[in-house]
Amino acid sequence: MSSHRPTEIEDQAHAEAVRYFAEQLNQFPASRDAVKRLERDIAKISLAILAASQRPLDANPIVTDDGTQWRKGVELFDNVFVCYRQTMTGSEYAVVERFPSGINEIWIKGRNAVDVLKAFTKDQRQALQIWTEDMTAQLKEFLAEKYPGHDMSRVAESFLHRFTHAETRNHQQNQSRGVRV
Amino acid sequence: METVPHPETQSAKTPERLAYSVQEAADLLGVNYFSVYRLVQRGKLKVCRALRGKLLVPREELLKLLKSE
Repeated sequence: MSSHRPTEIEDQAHAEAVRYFAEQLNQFPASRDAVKRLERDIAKISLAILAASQRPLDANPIVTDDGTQWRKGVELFDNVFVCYRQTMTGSEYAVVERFPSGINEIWIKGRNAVDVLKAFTKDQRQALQIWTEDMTAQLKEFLAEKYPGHDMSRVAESFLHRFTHAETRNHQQNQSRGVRV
Repeated sequence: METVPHPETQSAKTPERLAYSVQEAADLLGVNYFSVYRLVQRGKLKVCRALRGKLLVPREELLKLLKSE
C-alpha cells in the first residue's frame, strides 16, 4: 500500500489475511531459502555426494518405490536426500523423498550428480512459482468473500509482497537446514 | 497418516467433498505445503482450478496418490 496511507478497512483486511494465511507466510520463505541455498551449493553438494560414495557402505540402504536400493548421501531438505548406487555401468545418482507412509520416491535420477541436482533445483523453482500463483488466487478469493464490493487490490499487492519477500523467521525450522552429509 | 474421510463415515447431512484445497491436501497427506506443490509440479497430483484460479485437488487424485503410496 505504497502511495497513500491504507484505509481502516484495508488495514483490517490485511491483518485478517496475515492471520488466515499465517502458516503459508511461515513456510514459503523457508522453502524459498532452501531452494536458494541448493542453487548456491550445487558444486559443494556434488562433491559431498562423491565423497560419500567413496566411503564404505552402511547397513541401511534406501529401497525406492521401483524396488532399487540406494545409499543415502546428502540430505537436501527434511526427508529429501541425494542418493547414489553403483551399477554395472558406473555410479547413478537420485534425489529421493521419503513420504510419511514410509515410501521412498525417486524425484529424478541420472549418471551425473551435478545434472541431477540442477534438474531438481529447476523443478523446485517451478513448484515455488505454482505456490505463488495459487497464493495469489487464494488471497483474491479470501478478500472477495470477506469484503465484497471493496477494491482490495492494494491489500493484495502488499500481502503478496510480504509473502514473496519475507525473511525466514526461524532458521532451524523445516526446509531451512543446511546441507548435511 | 490421516486418510481421506470415507463417505460412509460422514454424516448424511454432510455431502461428500469432491475436492480439497492445497492446505487440506497437505494435512490429509501429512506433508508440508511445499511437498504438495512439488507433487503438482511433477504431475504426480493432478489439480483443477476454481473460478479465481485457486488450485483444488480432486478427492479421487488424493485417493489415487494414497493407494500408489
